[in-house]
Amino acid sequence: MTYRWKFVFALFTCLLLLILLSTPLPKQGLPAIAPLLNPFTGFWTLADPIDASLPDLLIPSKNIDNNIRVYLDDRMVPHIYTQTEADAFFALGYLHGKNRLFQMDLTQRAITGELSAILGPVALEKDIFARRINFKKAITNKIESWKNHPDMMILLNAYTSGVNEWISSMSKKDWPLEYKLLNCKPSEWTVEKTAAISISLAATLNLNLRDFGHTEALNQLGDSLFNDLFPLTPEFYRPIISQNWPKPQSDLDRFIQHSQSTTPTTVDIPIHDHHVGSNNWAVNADLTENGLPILANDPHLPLNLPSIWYEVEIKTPQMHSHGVSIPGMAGIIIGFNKHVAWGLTNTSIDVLDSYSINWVNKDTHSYLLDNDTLSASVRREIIEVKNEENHIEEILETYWGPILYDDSAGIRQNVAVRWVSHMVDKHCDFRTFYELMKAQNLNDYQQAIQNFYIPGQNIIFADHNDSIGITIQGKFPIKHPNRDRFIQDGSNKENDWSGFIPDSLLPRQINPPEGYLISANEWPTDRDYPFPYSGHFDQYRGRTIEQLLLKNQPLNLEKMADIQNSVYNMKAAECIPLLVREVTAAGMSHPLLDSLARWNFEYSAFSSLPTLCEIWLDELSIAVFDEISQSPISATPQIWRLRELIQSTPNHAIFDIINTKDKKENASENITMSWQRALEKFETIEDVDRKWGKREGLSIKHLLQIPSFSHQQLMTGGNGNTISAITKTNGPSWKMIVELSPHKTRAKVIYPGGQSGNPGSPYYDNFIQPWLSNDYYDIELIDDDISPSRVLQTIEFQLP
Amino acid sequence: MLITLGTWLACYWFGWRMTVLIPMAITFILPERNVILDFLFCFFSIFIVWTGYSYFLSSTNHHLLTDRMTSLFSMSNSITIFTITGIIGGLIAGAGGSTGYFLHHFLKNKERS
Repeated sequence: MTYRWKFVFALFTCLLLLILLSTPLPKQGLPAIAPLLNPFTGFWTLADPIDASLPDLLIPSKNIDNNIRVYLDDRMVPHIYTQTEADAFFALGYLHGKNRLFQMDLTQRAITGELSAILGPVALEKDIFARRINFKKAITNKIESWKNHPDMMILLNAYTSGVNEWISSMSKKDWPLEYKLLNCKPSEWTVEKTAAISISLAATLNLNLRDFGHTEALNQLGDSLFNDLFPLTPEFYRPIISQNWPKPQSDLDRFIQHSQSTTPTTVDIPIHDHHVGSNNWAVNADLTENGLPILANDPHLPLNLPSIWYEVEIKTPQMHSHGVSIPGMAGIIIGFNKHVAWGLTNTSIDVLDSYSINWVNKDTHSYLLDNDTLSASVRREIIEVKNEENHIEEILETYWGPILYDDSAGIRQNVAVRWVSHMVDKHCDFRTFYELMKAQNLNDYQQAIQNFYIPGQNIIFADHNDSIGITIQGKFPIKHPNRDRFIQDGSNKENDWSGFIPDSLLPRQINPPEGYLISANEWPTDRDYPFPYSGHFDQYRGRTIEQLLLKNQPLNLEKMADIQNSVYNMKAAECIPLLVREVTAAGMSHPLLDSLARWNFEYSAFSSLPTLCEIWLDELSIAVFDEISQSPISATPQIWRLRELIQSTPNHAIFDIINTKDKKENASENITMSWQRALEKFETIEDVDRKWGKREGLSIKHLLQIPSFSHQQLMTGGNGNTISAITKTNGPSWKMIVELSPHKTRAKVIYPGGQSGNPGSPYYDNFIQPWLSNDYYDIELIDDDISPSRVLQTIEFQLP
Repeated sequence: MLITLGTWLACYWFGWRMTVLIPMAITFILPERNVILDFLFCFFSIFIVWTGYSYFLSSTNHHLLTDRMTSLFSMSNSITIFTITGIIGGLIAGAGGSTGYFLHHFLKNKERS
């Protein structure tokens, strides 16, 4: 062979090798190997040095008003000092981009239905759901509302510009690891993407499809039994706010009647249920050791790595605030300043309704509404799918909203949904957080929260003048209180919302005589509140917090932390003694029954009694609710209702076991039978696996579910009913306790994650261990005089 | 030495694809006695660059990320990932070096004829 051909052959081999090593193998799940493994732009460049201070950065930028200084402290928390507010949001955007870009991108893609473009067909179902429910419309609405507030748009644009400053300065070696693994690239940030992140929060907190589960339960139980098992409120409960309510101006009579009108139907729809919850409370100076008001908040959310939160301190001549921001969103969402502190919990009021469409002719998309025949419009969504052809989804838009699931598969229903985020609103929720960051007193708080509407939240407040307050703030439709729990008849306009609860009549309470305010996702009001509502509310955490606040006075920061970390389970405390009594009365005995009788109802990680308790309650639920427990999608009555029935009507028809036709069982028989089954189950579990933390321990997974980037099966205590509401996937995502003083406000904070989104950084997960041990960081607001020994890095933005 | 240093510098500034160009250029200018020697020189020079530099980056990180990536790709230990990194770099450089060697001789023969 001549050198010519040898050269051609070698060149060809060279090119082939380059192409092969630069091509991902999606079927084998392998990324492009040379771009990933080379030490110049591959993953190695993200191996951030440990035990080394970071080099200071001087960044010239044309997009700022004045020079900006940012100190990253030894926890990598930024302290931003600027002369203008726009610059503060610019710096926040830059830091979010620098530390959490992939997380921001993935979150906004989940809302815009563009996950498949980077993840492939595995994410197509999620994208179809996002497109069907029309999150994009919610984004457009949000942008429209923001545009009514030009001063806020300036700040949002500054934030966007900050993110893009980072993106444009990035070289390939700086790309987040996930982009390198997925072989895709970051794109420019936009205000629309910020709105998508905000809608993501609304979707996590306010989007539930319980109507389907309730409809299924109704079909199986019938009206009377359903109403008995699913009352809107328990016989006894502690509402967030109880007071003499003003009478509304509008005529609400037709809504206040608890009428029952439903559309029996069968469904085949996955239930989107996030089990999110939170606690917040505030106490005034009379109840505390130092004579200072204290506010506490711990929002319970799905826990992932990177964390949903990014801690930050911002100081401008007009504001000085510390708290947590959400990457992709401008502002501090939960936090405090020199004068005030604020916190959020979810309201759980139902703001999504479902309607079955009565088609006249499905081919022409015509359907009935009252006596008219209307035509549904068609929305055509093109979904890009990585390594595959685009998927096209045609979605019908009705009077009520989009058809969530069509019947193309022959089994799905024609159900349209109306969600509050589909409505246009004049308010700007971003303004709420902006004004809270600057708030100085109760008036400022009340002014600030008027702009908040989605997702509905219990916004709590305290200031150093010893005012405390709480408002159930949001956009809550006025509708039938019972009908709205089911898939309603979409051919009847009677089922429509008749407006929204006016701002002036939203439940709120300021400086109550008892000196404390609590919210923990329970019923917002007592039964006398003039506007009926339904939802999924917690019965136990709020009451436990109240007990502990009353018992531990005078209160201080440390006692508040102990309360926040309590794993005492009031559900177990109310049910187990009753159940043990019944079983003992039936003549049964067992050492484990004695243990349960002596138990303190603490859901500790190393105790096995919580495991036994939960198995028993599950078995009891299955036995009692055998009429519905076989259906995977049916709603199941809550344990508090089961306890009420056991105590009030032990011979209720629901206790009859349907498989024993000749016999009519009572509550007691269900309890003993479930005890025997629970015991059998419990005894088959290995000793070590009976520990609560081993069985129900939390896993904090990486957003792409990569095990080696996750912390799995941690030994954690608590469950959804304990104040420290840690489950397998969710938990207190940010624990904050603030003592407000006119002289020096102090706080304790922690979240399970780390400031960096880079799995190669020591700051990726460094807060998890202290979070697990309930060790908080002590925080004070820092003027521009941070101790040099605490500074990890200084970043300065300078005008050219 | 020339290949090692030259490639490291070029890759640092112009990206990893320089791994093919620099060895190609060097063997084009200064070819060895035969192509096998050139391939081996280039392979080992770049094996050292890719493994050594990745090891340096990883060690300042106390191998935190390396361990996570090792586990992600279900490898038994981190030596494997360093070795694969070196081999990939080495193969690319070896192929580049061989191409440079043949180009040198092809042009030399052309001049002669």
